[in-house]
Amino acid sequence: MRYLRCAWTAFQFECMGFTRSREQHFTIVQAVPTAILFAYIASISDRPVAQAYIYFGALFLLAWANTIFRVGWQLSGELYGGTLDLSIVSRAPTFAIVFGRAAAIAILGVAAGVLGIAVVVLFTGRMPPADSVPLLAVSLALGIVALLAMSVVMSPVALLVDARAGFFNGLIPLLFFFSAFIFPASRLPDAIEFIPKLLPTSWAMEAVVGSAQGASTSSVIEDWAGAIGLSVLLFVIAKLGIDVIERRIRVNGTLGRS
Amino acid sequence: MGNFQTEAFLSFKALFPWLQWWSYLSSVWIRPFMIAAMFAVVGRFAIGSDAAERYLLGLAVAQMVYLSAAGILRTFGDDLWQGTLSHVLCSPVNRFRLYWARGLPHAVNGFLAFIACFISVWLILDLDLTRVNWPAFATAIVLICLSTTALVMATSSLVIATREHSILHQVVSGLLILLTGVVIPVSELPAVLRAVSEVLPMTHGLAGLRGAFSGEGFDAIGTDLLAEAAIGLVCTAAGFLVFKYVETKGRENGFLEGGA
Repeated sequence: MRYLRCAWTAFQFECMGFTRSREQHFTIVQAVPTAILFAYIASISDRPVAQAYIYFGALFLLAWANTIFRVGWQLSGELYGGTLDLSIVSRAPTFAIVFGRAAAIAILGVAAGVLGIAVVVLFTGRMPPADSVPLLAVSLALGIVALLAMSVVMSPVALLVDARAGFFNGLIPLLFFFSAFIFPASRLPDAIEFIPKLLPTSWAMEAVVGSAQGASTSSVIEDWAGAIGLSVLLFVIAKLGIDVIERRIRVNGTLGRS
Repeated sequence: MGNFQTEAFLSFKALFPWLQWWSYLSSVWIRPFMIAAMFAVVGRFAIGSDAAERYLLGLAVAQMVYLSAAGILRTFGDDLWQGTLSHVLCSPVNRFRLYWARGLPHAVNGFLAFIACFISVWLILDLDLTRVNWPAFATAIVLICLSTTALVMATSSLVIATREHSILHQVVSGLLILLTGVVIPVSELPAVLRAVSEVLPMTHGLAGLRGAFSGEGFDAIGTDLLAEAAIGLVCTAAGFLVFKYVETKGRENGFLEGGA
């Protein structure tokens, strides 16, 4: 219960911060040019599966960069800003705070992702496919959870490797590439085809496209299981990483580093 | 020349005092390569192999510009916010040299990003280089690098006037990626946007670069290269005039001091 209360408060705090920041509003639209390029590709493609990937990939594209970047810097930002002291000495679990804030960032990002779909609809002149709306809705929700899991795990990673500015410049497109949001893992060269299968996003995206294209319910559920299992694993890794950071900071006394 | 090198080095060093190897490689190699590779895979998946090759070249060039624009615009922004711009502009150095010294290191950085991206694509995604006309290809990429740097330098004065660099960066990069034929062919743009495209750096250079990649020589792509060079020169002259104007106005109105 304490976890939920802390996470909910952190969620509200992050939403309030978003509504007041002009710069954060702009970060939502900065992926629009890339979405337009993908939309153009969808409009000249005659392959329905590719179009389905681009429709829903555009949704996640707009959420991706902003979510990974902001959630990834959360703990490091607090450490360098000197506010991590307050988080750690308070009774609120740090993981709950990171999770709550990350959930707000991811959900606001995905809400902006509707803009990505709108761009593709404008270019192609067609609505996104939706063979089974209930399955599609659950699959999209799992896509958000997968995105959230991948961004939450970045927060302790960035701090543990002592990341500096520029750290996420390459990591964001690298992870997006292997997240298989915009094409299936099977389109990658054989030697690296297994990598997306280790990430929950590729399972969630397979489920999204399967639901939209009329795949069997059993195959969609199989993809859901993959997405849920890997997301849970990433949340556990994130929790362990945050515990390591808390212990290390308390032992080394590196709070408030600047 | 010695002063030019010192100015260029110091402006670069001052911008990136935090630089780590991972951060540098992440920006100069991994990001450009992953974005170009992503479009190549999408192009092959959604359309076919020809599209993949076209997108690879376009995105590699676009990433070169993205990287150099980020550095150049931030140089001016950081100088403003850290309060060093007034010192720089009070110094009695040649203004044209000062202006270019702040852009050239980032142009070189962008150029390195293109080379790293191109070599990675060749090694990992098996790009066919047998037809490339290398002298024409090299000339085209150097011209694109210089002309786009000139455009970004021209925009950089607006950082001083508007006190904003990240939005300007996204606007300039967004316009270039959408209107210069990186993915969407210029011929498919609406007439108004096509007219804008014709006067933007990169449009003609990219057409020439693609021609050289397919084996065409200077005789076939010479017009494109000349147009790219001419646009670059116009951007250089216009940018320098804007810089001088903003400097003069800044002295009169006192907006060279930091703060948002």
